[in-house]
Order: sequence, then C-alpha cells, then structure tokens
Amino acid sequence: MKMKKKFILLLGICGLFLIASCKNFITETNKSNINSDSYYKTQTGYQKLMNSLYAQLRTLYGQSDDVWMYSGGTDIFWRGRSQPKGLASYANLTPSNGNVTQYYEDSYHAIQVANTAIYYNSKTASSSDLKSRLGEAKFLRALFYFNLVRFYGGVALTTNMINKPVLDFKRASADSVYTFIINQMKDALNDVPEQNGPGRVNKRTVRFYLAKVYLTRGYKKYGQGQADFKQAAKYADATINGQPLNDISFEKEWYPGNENNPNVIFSVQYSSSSMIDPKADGNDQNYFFSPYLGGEGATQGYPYRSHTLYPDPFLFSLFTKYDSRLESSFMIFYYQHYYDFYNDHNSLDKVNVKYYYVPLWAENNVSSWRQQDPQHRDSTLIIPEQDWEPDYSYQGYQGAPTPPPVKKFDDPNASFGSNSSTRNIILARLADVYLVKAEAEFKLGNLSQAAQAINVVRSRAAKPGDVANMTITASQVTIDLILNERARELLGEYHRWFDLTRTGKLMERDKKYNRNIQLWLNQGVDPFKGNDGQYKLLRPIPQKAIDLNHTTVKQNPGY
Amino acid sequence: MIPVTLLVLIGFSTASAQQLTVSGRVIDGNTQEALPGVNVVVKGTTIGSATDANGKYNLTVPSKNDTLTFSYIGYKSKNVPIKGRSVINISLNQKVLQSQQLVVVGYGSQKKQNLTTSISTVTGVKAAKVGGTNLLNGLQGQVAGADITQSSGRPGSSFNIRIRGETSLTGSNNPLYVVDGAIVDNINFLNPQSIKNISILKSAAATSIYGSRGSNGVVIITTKSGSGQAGQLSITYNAYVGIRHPARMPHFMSGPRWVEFRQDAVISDALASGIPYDSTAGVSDATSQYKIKHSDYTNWPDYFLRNGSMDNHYLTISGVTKNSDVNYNVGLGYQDAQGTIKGQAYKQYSIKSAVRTHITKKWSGGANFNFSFQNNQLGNHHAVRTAYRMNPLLAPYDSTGNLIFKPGKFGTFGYTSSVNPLMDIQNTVNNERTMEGIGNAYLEFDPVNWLQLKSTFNPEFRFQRQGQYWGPLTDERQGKDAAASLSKNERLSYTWNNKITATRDFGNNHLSFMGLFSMEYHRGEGSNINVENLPFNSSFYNLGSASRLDNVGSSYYKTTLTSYVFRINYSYMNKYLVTLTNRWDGSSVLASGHKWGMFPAISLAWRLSKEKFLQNVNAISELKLRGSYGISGNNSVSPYSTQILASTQTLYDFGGNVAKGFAPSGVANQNLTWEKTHEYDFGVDFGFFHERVSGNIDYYNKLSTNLLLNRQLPLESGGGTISDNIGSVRNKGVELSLTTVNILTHDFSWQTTFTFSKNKNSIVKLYGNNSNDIGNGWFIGEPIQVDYSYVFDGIWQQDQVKEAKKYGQTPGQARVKDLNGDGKITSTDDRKIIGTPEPSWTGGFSTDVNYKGLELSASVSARQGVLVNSPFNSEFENLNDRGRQKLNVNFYMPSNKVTPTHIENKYPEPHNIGKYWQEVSAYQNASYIEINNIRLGYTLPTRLTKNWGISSLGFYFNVQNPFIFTPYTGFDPQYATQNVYSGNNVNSSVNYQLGINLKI
Repeated sequence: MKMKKKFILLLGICGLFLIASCKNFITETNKSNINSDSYYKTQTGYQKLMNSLYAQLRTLYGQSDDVWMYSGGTDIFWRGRSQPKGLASYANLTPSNGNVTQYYEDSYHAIQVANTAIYYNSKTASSSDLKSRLGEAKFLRALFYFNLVRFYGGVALTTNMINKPVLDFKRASADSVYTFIINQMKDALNDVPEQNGPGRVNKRTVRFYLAKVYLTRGYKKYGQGQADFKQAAKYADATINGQPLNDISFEKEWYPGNENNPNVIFSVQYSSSSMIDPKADGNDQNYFFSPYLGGEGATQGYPYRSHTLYPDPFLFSLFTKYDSRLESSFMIFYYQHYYDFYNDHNSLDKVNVKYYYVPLWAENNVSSWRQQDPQHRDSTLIIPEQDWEPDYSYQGYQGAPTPPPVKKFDDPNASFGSNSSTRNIILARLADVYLVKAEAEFKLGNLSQAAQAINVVRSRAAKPGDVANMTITASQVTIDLILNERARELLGEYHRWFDLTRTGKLMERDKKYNRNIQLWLNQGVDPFKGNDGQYKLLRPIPQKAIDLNHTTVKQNPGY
Repeated sequence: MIPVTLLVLIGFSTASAQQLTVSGRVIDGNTQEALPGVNVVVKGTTIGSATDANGKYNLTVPSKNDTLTFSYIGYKSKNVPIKGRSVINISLNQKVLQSQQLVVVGYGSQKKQNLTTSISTVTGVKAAKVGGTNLLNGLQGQVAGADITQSSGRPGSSFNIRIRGETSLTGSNNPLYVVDGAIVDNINFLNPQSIKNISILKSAAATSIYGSRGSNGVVIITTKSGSGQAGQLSITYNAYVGIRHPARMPHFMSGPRWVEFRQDAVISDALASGIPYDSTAGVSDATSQYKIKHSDYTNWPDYFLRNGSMDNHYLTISGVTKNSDVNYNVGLGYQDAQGTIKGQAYKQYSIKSAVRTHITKKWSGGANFNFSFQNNQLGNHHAVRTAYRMNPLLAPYDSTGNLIFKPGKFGTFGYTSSVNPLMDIQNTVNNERTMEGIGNAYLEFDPVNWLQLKSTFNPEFRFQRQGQYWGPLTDERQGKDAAASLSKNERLSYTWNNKITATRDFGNNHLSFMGLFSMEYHRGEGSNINVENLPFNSSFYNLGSASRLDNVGSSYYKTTLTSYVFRINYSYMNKYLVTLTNRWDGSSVLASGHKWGMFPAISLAWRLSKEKFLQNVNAISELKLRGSYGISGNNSVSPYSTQILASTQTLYDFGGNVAKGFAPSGVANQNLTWEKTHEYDFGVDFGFFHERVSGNIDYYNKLSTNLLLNRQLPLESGGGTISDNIGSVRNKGVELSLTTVNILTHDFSWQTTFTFSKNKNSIVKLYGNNSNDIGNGWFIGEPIQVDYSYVFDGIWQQDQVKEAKKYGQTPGQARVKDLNGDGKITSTDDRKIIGTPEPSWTGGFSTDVNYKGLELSASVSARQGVLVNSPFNSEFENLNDRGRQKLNVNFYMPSNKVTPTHIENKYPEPHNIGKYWQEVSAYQNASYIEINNIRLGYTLPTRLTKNWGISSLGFYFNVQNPFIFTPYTGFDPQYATQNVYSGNNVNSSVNYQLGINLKI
C-alpha cells in the first residue's frame, strides 16, 4: 500500500507538470536568428540591411557568370577553352543559358534587397544618415535596372518590398524602365552627400551614372536624342568638375594597392578581411582575360587563370608604339615567376625574364634588348605577336602561355583559385567620364570638344615624350575611334558589351574582328540571326523566368 | 503462460495418487528441434503440464482413455487420445497463417484477424536473413506497397523507402519511423539482429493515428525483449563474416580506345576550323607518344578498388526471473564494413537492454533502451570522382614506384592538374562519429482487468561529430599547409505519452477504447569550424594551432507537437469489425491560427469466413473484406519557415572596414497549413486450403490536398523558394501479397511469397487554376516527378549538312525531334515528358526451402518503368570533354586521315556534341530486377547438439546482390540519381557471407 501511494503521488506530480507545461508548448521559439521586421527597425539592423544591399554588388560583378555577360561575344575578346559558347558567339545562345539566367535572378534578388531597404527607411529608428541611405538604395536599385534594361530590354519593374508570394510580373517597356532609372537617380542625387566615405554612393557617383544613362538612352528610338546627349555631356562635366586625369599614371592607377585612388568614382569593395573563404569570397576579375597558366600557382607564384575571354589580335593591333597601355595592361615581360613583377618590383633588373611577348613594332629590337642584360635575358623565350594565338590545347607557344595575360587586375595577395581577388572591381573612373563626355559631344556634333576630351585620356597614356604622337584632331573623331579608345583604356572593365550595343556596333564589329563569329560566317551561318529571322541584340529572357511567371511573357527577338 | 504453469503445478500434486503417468517428447515437426514450454493438458480438465528444455514431459492422468491436448503458441494444437499408452512422442507443426498473431499498430497491438486496415508485418528474423547492415535491406521487395532502394554504394549506406507513392516534395517522403514508441528520423543505427518485428502502416486509416505525420506511411519497429519460461535464461549468438567484392563495373574505354577518342576530339575541331593536324593530334607530347608506343596504359580502378568486408556479431542474453516478475533482454552488437573503395569504412557498436516488471498486482513498469555508436570513415569523395575520371594514359606511380602528385602533369603531359587520387585518399581524413540512443520508461496501472493506464516517456538523443583533414598533398590544398574542419550536431528529443485503454465484452459485442495525450519535443544544436594552414599533422584535433581561421558557425532549432488521440474498436460476434480513430495535432512550425489540425479515420471489416454459409467450407480458412477511409497529414515544414528572418549573411567592406550584412531570408508564407491525405482503401485478406495459400489484395486511392511543396517563386519577385500548399496529388494503386506453402511434409517444406504493387501518381491541381508549372516541372495529370526534355532523335549525318544547318547544327551533333514541326527547336514547343523516375510497378519474390536441417532461401526485388536523370551518364558520356575517362560508347566520327571513321547514330562526335546532347544523354532507363540474396544454411540436429548443452546450432552461406538485370549502364540502378561527386554513386558490390546462429 505504501508503494501504491508513492506511485499515485508520482502520477499526480506528472499530471501537474503536464498541465503547467502545455500552455506555451507549441509556441515557436528561435534562438539563432532574428525576425527581420523587428531587426530592420533598429538602427543596427538597418545598417546591416544596407550593408547587405551593397554586398549585392559583389554578386552582380564578382562572379564568372557576370564577367561573361559583360565581356563575352565582343570584338576584343574571344571565347576561351572552357567558356560557355552561347555568350561568346550567339548561335548557341538560348533562353536556358545558365549565365543569362543567373544574372537575371541575381539582379532581381538585389532589387528586392533594395526595395526592402527603401521600405524600412521610413520605419526604422531615426538617425542622421537615413536620408543618404535612402538615396544610396534608390541609386543602387536604379543601377541594377540600368544593367537589366541594357541586357534584356524592357523588364518587369518591381518597386515594392515583396513579403508574400507574387506570381504575375508584366514586362515594362524599355522606355518606362529608363524613365524610372532617371527619376530614381535624380532623387538619389538630392539625397546623397557630396562626400560619403569610401565605397559608398555619393553625388559624384550619381552624376556620372546619370550621364551614362542619358548617353545610352540618347541612341534609342524612344530616347530623346540630342536632349539626352546634352544631359549626358552636362552630367559628365559636372562629374569631372575640373579634375585632371594625369594626377596619377595609368600604370599606377592599376597597380595593386591603389584601388581607392582619386580617379575612382565608384567601385565594388573587396578586402581580404571581408572574405571568409579566400578561395570563394573574392571576385573573379583577375581570373579572366588570360590563358591558363597552370595548376601549381600556389607554390609556383603565378595566378589561377580561367582560359577564357582571350584578348584577340584585333585588341593587340589597337596599340601603337607610343601607347604605354599595352605594357601596363598586359604582362608583356613575364618574369621567372609571374608574381616577381610585384614581389620584386623595385629590383626587376635582378630577375630573369622568362617570356617576352614582343609587339610587332619591337620585333627588330629583340637582340639589342637581350644585349642590354645578357645575364637575365639570354634564356628569355621570345614570343612574336603573330603567335599570340589562343591556346586550346594547353600547349601554347613552345610551352609558353599565349596570348599574353592581362595584368591590370592582378592580385598578388589572392589565394590560388577562382573567386579569389581581394581587389576592388572599379566600375567607374575618371577616364571613363572623359570618354563618355567625348561620346556625348560627338553625338552633339561638337567634334573639337570630343577630341579634346579624348586627348586628355590619350596624352596620359602616351609614353614619355610621345604626347604629340598620341594627340588626335577633331576631324579624326568617329564612333569607331571612340570605341577603339574605350577598348585601349577600359579593356576588361566590364563595359565592352554595353559599349557595342549602346552604339549599335555590336554585329558590325563582331563580324569584322571576332574569330568565333567569323567561324560561323565561314560556314554560312549568321550567328546573330535567330530562328525567327531576327537578330540577337539583347540577351534572352531566361526560360526559367518565363516558366515561373504566371503572366505570358514575350521573348526577345531572335530567341 | 504464468497462470498455466501454476495450474500445471496444482494438477500435478492432486493427481499423483492415482499413479497413471504418461511421458514423452514434443518436437518441432519441421526442424526436429525439441519444443520447450509446450502445454500438455488432459482434455476437458485443468490437469496439465509443460515440456522441459529438452521437450520432455511427464504427466499423471486420471484415466488412460483420456485425450491429451498439446498446444504451443505459434503452433497448431493437437489432440491425441492416450489409448492406454504410457509413452507418447509427437511433433507439432507451426501454423502457416498466424491469424491469432498480434500485430503492432499505432499505440497498441491487435490480433491480425481483427485488423481493419492495411498493415504489413515482417519479422525481425526474416529481415535479418538478407544479411544487410541496414534493416530496410531485408525488406526490399518483401512488402507490397513499399518501394525500397539503396541510396549509395558505401559501406553502411542507408536505404530510401516510399510507401504508396510520393505525396510531397518538401523535405522528404520518408515514412514516420517509430522505434519502441520513439519517433526517430532514421533507423540506420539499429542492428538488424536486434529487431523483433516490423509493422508497416500503409493506408491513411492505419496511419491517421499518427495524424500530421502519417501520410507517407508509418514504420513501427519493436526491438527484442525478454521472453520465455520462468527461471529460463537463453543466450544466442548470431554472426557472419563476409567480403564485399566490387562488381558490375561499367564498361569504360580501354587505353587504345581512349587514345582514339582523344585524337578524334582534337581532330573534329581541326576539321571544323580547317586547322592542319597529323597522326599525333591530341597526343603530340613525348610522354604520350612513348606510352602509346609501349602500350603502357593504366586501369585506374585496379588501384583504388579493393575487396571490402562486412561482419556482424550479435549476442543476446534474455530470460525471465524465477518468480517471473522480471523479464529482461540484453543485446550487444558489432558491425564492421570496409568499403570497396580505399578509405571508406563503417563500424557500429550497439547495446540494448529491456526490462519489464510487475511491481504489485496492479502496477507494472519497465524500461528499454537502444544505444549505438557508429564510426564512419567517409573517405575522399573528391578523389573517388577524380579516380574514375583519370584517363588510361596517366599512371599513379613513376618508374621508381613513388606516387606522382599530378599524374596529368607528369613528363610532358598537358592533361589535368588534378591531384593523384591515391595520394589524395592517403592524405585525407573524413570521419563521422555518431552516438545515438533511444529509450523508454513506462509505468502502468491496471485498476481493474478491463482498464489500463499507462504513462510512457521516450527520450532520444543523437550526437554527431564530423572531422575532416586535408594534408598538403591533396587536391584541396595543392601543396599548401594542411587544413581541417570540425562540425558537431546534437539532437535531443522526447515524447511523453499518457494513455488509457479500456476493453470490455458485452455478450457478442466487443468494445475497446484507447485515449492518448502526447507531447513531443525536438531540439537541435550545431556548430562548425574550418581552419587553414596547420603547422603539423594534428588531424582535426588541434584546430587552434592553425594560422588561419576560415569559418565558424553555430545553429539551433526547436519543434514541438501536442496531440490528443482516441481510437474505438467495436466488433460483433468477431465478424463485423469497426474502428474509429481521430487525432488532433498542434504544431509549433505553423503560424498561429494554423497550428491545429484534425485527422479522423473509419475502417470496417467483415470476416466472411465466420459466416455460417462459409464456416463449413473447408477450403476457406480466412476471408475478410476491409474498407477504410482516413485522413492523415504531412507537416514536413522546416521550423521558422513562416517567419521572415534577417538571416542571409553577406560580406562587404567600405575601404577595408568590414561591413557584414544581413539580408532578409526571402518570402515567408504565413498561411502555410497542414497537407492532408484523404485515402480510401479496400482490401481482402484470405487464407485457403488450411492456410496453404494466404495473402491480401488492396486497392487504394488517396488524394493529398494542400500539398506542401517547395516552390520556386518567379525570378522577378527576388526568386527563392517557399514552402507552400499548392495543389493536390493523387496516388492510386493496387497491392498484392501472396504466400503459398507449396510443400509441407514432415521433413520437407517449401514456401514462397510474391509481392506486387503498382502505383499511379498524378498531380490533380496546381495553384487552384489548373495550370502547369513548367519551371518546377509540374504538369496536371502527370506524376510529381517527370523527365521533361527534348527527345533524342539520333545524330546529324554527313549527308544532312543542309538540313542540320537549318537548325544551326552540323553533322556529328546530337539531333532532337522538332515536335511541333515548325522547323526550329524551341524550349517551349519541343520539350515533352519522356518518362518518370517513379516506377510503374515494383515487386518481389522470396522462397524458402527446408529439408530436415537444410535451408535454401532467396529473395528478389524488381522496380520497372524507371527513367532517371543520371549524373553518371552526363559525366561519363560527356563527349565534349576530352581529357577524362569515358564510357566505351560507339560515337560518330567523320572520315579523316588519322583515325577510323564511325558512322553512328547513337552517340555524337567527340568535341562536337551539339547543344542538346548533355541534356538528352542523361536520361537513362534504370529499371531493374535484383536477386537480393541467396542463402544456404544447415542446422545441426538437436539430438546431436543437446549433448553439448546447445539448444540449436546452424551455419549458413549467403550471397548478397549476386545478380542484377538492368539496361542501366552506370554503377547501380538503385542509386542512379545520386551525384557522382558525392561518393555515393560508386561501384556496386557482391557480398559473400559465412554465418552462424547459436542458441544456448
């Protein structure tokens, strides 16, 4: 009986426990994460949200998909060994292309973060920088749309935060997308300060992009022609604001460590301290525009290169002997170890030269070059310009990689692997502003002003004593000259496809200079011509986007 | 049993005066073994006895004209008139259909004859017979309606099980596993030898007792517990040792064949662009030339494959104390499996213990726990893929016998920079250790004989640690200092059930009631750390010594469930049976307002064989019609998915000042609610010719509404996926299970079992507006999983240049059908459903032949009509790549001046595959019929072993997976959909085992 009482007591205690604990038993608790709504309403939370908005730039400029989107299928780069064919030569470009899809998806994701930042701007704890943050978010969203409209044409405008499933999205006209971009950028210009700390959007950033947006729209049928070009010239002038370009040399502007030089207007920020995985969290800009240099760079002192987007012979042909930018953009002298150029930068005369990529005009001077320093140059392999061929079989020219690698994005501190560069991706810099100004003036018929702006860029690029040889006259200015100048100055800076499509020169110049395109033409196929007989002058709307959207979406011409 | 023993004792003492005794021995008619504990009773009296451990009995009877009744659980009783004899030796035969057998149902058990729903059972003995390391291996093909496939070729690999088709794509379609009352998410930790029986609840009426988690079926596993006679102790030892032999290797290219392919891949480019080429095309470097000249090729699998092993040892001690108030069972298990790939191994140690006791007359209690420790060497899956990719020109060793770091860069080679997989395997550690325990403790109170109150507490825990280490000479490190990572996860759960059961008979009416209140709690925590540049080899045991800290993380989740359940069973004259159940579940993972769901069911059965008009038909021993309707649910929603969290971590900096960000997790669905499956089931249970033929047939039709699916949102909304209730899916099908005893004589028996099931899965509704969702691959009227693709139509031939050009293609490229005939191939018009990875039918067969002590058994399973997207084929039939090993396929090659011409229509030209090949070549028929095992055993006669004090001793030889019949060209059709990078999609094996069963 005693035992029985104990059990009954035990059961009674259990019963009490049961009643007591039942009340809140099925309430959800989360100790590891915070509810977004309450977090973004705090000052810290909003700051983290803004940081995550800027981080979208890393997604949209830092990955392989992006680079192929910005640079593939243009007149100055060929398809490499492992580059997707679609973006390189159009014929195989289909709506299910993974790069096109990824870019589209990433852009709209970024837009959603911007929409969220704008939504919470008026709901979060007040602070002095909120107005600027609103402008920054509006600018970044407009920038995302600017890229979208240039790649895909008119796209759906989502301008509100989406926190419930929305299934229908209609494509807006390209015209209205441009109107939206311009209005938003003008708002932003009002909101952001003149100076805003490194890496943040400031008035200067906004002014320059307004210039570019107007310049781009000026060419369009639905654009406002001369009025747009006038605006472009006006905003370009305001951006330059009297700043000369040659405060810093081209070589120095690109030398590692100078990423925040005064010529830079806007860039995607990277640093080794803001990366968790050094092989994955950096950017890809240093990984392209070069042959594969081998798989042992971690121990052999050379970078990891993708074998894609080879600089083509046309690009090399654009440089004259007066122009310092060939040597400053390419690793023309390849030292014993690739990175010796940086590691022994002040004592390069004590390092063996392994390869010398000799430009056409210097071929006759090779022997005298050797004699200047036989100790370090006797065993140098000379690679003449006619052999700067793409290397599809990893054999190169007598074992040397060809063509010469682009060096302006080199990061000697990068971990060996793709997505590893710790350097900023420079999206806008002063030289570009001068060239935008030149293009706008050219379109307005002000050839001398155009020439003047171009000469600012060219005279800085001139080798010592060659300024006169580099100077051009107003009568020489054509759209092709501007595009050639942009190629020399801005190669690899993610502008080329936009430049060619903006000026309507994509097909013409690709067919003339790009061997991948010519290969198709030789077989009697116009790779730009789609199944429907129209030309592929925009990227296709991704099939995945069409399939998931519950509204019927019209595909772009040619797909 | 206990009261009977008491009666026997009383009977013995009262009858002793009359001095009329009968004695003898009772044996099993089949095995000839002595049967201990058989009741021997004088018919019509309470006088009786029981046989001893040797099957012997001795009984004093009132008269030698009486009749003795011999009865034993699981055996047919026999009445034997004494007819004046004093020695009577008899044999008893096992019942073929054990309709009296108790079947475990949710929260209780029922006699098989009284079941009103669709439940399959398999004994632990049968499941263990196949010889797998995993319990589910033994059920393959043996349960109609359960589609079971192996998930990988690793040692200790897990199995996937689908019961009556797929209903949901969110989370898993795994059934609910209930082990001794505890809800667990897998059963890999159980040693198959520790299992008493397995019940598979299939229809919603059977599973609705588990409410919101029943719609994928429920697998209830009961582990062994103490049993036997009072004062009896038995020790059993079951073990096997075996080897795993790599088998059924896909047909890869030989050395010369690969060189031809390599040359073709280079020449095809040269032909297209008019570049000159010569006889050394593709292999022009000196090392390649030397190797080709001397036919020096490497068959890589010879180097990284080996004969593995698999051993299982299980020792049980069980019994009942003398005064029969404590039953106990202690089991110790050890499993060891070495993979057929170097570096993969699996060990499992387990211990189980079960005790139950009567405390007083009305109070009883017990405790039961299963604990296991698993040590899994996962090997280096990256190296395994590299090893299979290595082409035959590359060699692992140099001429001095040292491993080459990068075989593709050896000499003048210009192939891959991949690290030698043998070196990679040697210098990597990937070790997972898991400790897992489940248990229960219960207290039961029976105030009166028809009422029972029971409170059970089921705790469960799992600790898992994964450690990885990469030495400098690995692909991961490429010569740099070593790196390591460590992650730990723990999970702690409990279920507390309070149950009341009442059972009463009122005349011919039988009524029972079960009511339950249940609380369930799961909580998980995890942490991980990754470091680089370790100064010396400390594996992953000294992460602090590293100079670089890459990543640190930790996580948390908690889910809870509260439930109220009742069940009423009513039967009239044991002929008309009705069961009503209902469960209310309240879950933490749904938003408030949607937390509670109700899951009712009704089932009816009519035992025709009990009706007068059939009672005298000898041919029919059991005939029961069943019908049921029930609702079960699926709440496989991840915790917190109805909330938007600031949880997407981003990285940025402003001028070098780190600026971490937290973006929203995406779109949340506050309206998420229970997925519900409404199921009708009609079935027949039958037994004919004295149960020589028995089985059941079921037809079911289930409609799952408010389907939970992870759904991709339009890209324009920011993309991402949400869990959503998006439509409904129907599964309907038939199941047949048939057991026949073909031969049954004293010495010889032969029994076979067939199972067959056919399930048709189709989407009924999507988004309420009946439109297809091509983006997610969902089509009205079609299965949830379909293969939606272009249709392969051969290879463009040389004489079709013009036509090919119209489609932007060239000869040698793979061609697809222009389905709508508009002269162009578009993704919208020219793709269609070409098949489904869901089988059109599955089935199985098992056979057991016994002759005296000899036993020959085999089991077979089949899965047909399976078209999968096979990562193996897209990897090894990717003729666009020209540096790696390939399947030896007959590809197209135009005429050229170096290599032979192949005019083929099935595989495209190397390095000119066209834009459709990668997609269409991946779809492969992965149907199969597999012989799961063949086993030959011998049990020594008891009369021999009893002299050694052994009650039974047997040996067997077992072969696992000896044959598989399939058109699939990859490793193993069972895991054809697995990623080739995961280390799961690797060669299969045939396993040979030698086993022993010993009982003392």
